[in-house]
Amino acid sequence: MKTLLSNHHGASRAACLVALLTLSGALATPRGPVWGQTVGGQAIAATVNTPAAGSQTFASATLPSAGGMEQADLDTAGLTNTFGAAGLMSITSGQIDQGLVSVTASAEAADVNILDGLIAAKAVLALATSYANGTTAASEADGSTLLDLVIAGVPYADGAPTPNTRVELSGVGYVVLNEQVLSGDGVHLTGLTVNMIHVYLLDQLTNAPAGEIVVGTAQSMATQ
Amino acid sequence: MMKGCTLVRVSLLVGAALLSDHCTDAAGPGRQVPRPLAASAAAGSGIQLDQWNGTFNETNTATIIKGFNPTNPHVGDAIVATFFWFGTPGGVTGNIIASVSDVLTTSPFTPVGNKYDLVEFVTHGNISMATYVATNVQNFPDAGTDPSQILAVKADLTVPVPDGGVLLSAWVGVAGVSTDALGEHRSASGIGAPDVVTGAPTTADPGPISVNAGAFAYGVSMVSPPGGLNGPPGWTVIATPSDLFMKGDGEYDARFTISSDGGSADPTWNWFFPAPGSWLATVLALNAAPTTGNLTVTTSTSGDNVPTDGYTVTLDGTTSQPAPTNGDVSFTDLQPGTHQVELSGLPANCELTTPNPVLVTIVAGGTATATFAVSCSAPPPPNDFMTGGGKLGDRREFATFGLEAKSSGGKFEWSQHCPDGPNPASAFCAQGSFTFHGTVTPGSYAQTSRDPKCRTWTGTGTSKQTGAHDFTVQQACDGGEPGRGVDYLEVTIDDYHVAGYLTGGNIQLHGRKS
Repeated sequence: MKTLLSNHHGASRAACLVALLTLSGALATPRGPVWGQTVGGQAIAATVNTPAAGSQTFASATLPSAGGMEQADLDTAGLTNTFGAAGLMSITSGQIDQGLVSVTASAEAADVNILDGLIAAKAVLALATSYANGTTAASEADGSTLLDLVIAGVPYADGAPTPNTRVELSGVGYVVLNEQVLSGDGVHLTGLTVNMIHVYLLDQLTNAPAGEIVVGTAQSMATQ
Repeated sequence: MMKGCTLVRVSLLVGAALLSDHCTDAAGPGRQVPRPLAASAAAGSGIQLDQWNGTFNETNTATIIKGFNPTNPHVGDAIVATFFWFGTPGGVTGNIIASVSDVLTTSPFTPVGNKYDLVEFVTHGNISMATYVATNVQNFPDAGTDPSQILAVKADLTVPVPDGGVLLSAWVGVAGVSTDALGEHRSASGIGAPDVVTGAPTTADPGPISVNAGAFAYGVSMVSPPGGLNGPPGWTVIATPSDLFMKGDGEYDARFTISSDGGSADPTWNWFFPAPGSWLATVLALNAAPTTGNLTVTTSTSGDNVPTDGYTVTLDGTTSQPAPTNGDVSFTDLQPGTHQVELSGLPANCELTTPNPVLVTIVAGGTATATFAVSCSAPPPPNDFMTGGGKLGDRREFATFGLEAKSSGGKFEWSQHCPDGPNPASAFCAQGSFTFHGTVTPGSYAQTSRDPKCRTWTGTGTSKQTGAHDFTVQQACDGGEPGRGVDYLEVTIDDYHVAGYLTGGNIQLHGRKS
């Protein structure tokens, strides 16, 4: 099937996700009064892209082009045998300033159930923050966390797993935990995408991409 | 009338028959005689003997009086007056002195009005001795020598005595308030008798007293019948008056007057009684006048947005202390004279309504005051705005937020996470999980007193779980980038109140209005 992402390497594909969102206008990059200033932020509580469900996003907030703050929330979300969650919320805020461009995005969900209990979590929080002041551009994911995560019956410690932790899902594909894609030059440009739970579905015969489920996506980008 | 012993600088008016042999032997080894005040002053500061005088052989009188002729003391001196009398007139015992007062030797006498307090009264057999002290004496010609303007001290007795006398001494540098001036004091008495075998004297000892740093000790002893005397070793004789029935000896110990440490004093007189009789002894300490003063600075602040951190008070541009917005701060041990006091550290929304700096005059022993009044007003709305988002709290109790606030309004989002349910002991999770969507009230956005990069605002909003609420962001502070650990947030949503540094995300104060 056709998926949103086109290759099997999670980090690379997430970078492509940023690019696609940016190109499509989903990830706004308002330009500031000073040439070269841009700020972008987006938070999505959950994204499901499977042959059965099609492509769906839940509680998606995109930073307005003039900056400020945007928020979206859902009490519950459910796709039979595929995804279920409660308390989905996304917030992104940021601004272009004369001296500093800063943006923060957070996406969260509670009581997460993926693939009929194959993956479960009590709480998922993705946080991405970027700032650029003309001499330094940096991003970080501090505060991101997973609580009561269980994958195929195996519990994981609370907190943020090591970035880009990959866990195989027999007969399904694999999941990348705390997936982080960092971009930029560290001086004028910086960007970060955080996907706290990113399930890659693979065709069991061809091993080809067959869909994805992402819970907790936070993206931030700043240029100065 | 009488004057003093020839060993001391002021001559006595009394006849030679009233002078004892002490005048020729008192200044033995280890003993001193008083120096004139000018010489003492040149040697250093501290309490010094200014003037003294005395009289004995006042017979069959109900008034014992003596002047400081030929030279008055200095105004402000302390005067020690010891009255002596012999006999128990009419069988009356105890202190028969009705009052002690002072006069000027005008004709008739002019009352002066200084207050003389009884310090010690002691009696034994046929003799009695009472010592009075007046401090900070006033209302007479300072060091005057006009015979009609001499300060005299008198005791009015309830009954006449067959023989009486008085020893006056005036002291420079004693504390001006009697309760501050008087130190320890005590007296003793006993029987005296000649030792026909060894010739040993009878020791008159009032016992030891403690003497404060800078203080001096005054000692006086009296015997009847009069006899030979060896005075207290190391003490300085003031005078040793005598007559046919009794003999006295006044001494002082100035060891501590220029010392930074105190000590004890225990004068002992060795009297050679020619026949059985009685002895009396008294010792007292007088404390020095303070040489420094104090300053109390009072601050009072009114208005809005009163700072919480207080101010700084600086003395003479060198010594600073923090001062509360409403309260006192003290400076002690200041040299007398004029000092400058300045208040600083006022935030931009506050101004002084009283002069600043001010000059104060410090008087030794006194406490000067300086008062600063400050008026504060709410600062004008900041021409900036704030955005931010992130996380407060950690582990299994945390909140996520987003905010956008400026003078014209804004938005505020709050999501409290409590995966384990309500926890009454937790500030974060006392009510359990909830989300809150708020709107910033226009005009409420303002700078706080905590820091120039902190803002506060209020608003209203709704929670799906708990309904409508007012909220206040007491402080949202941009401490730098990234915000974790440096940006601070304090939020109240009705009775929900949390505060702390961010554990993720960022708060950004933007320098111009969007």
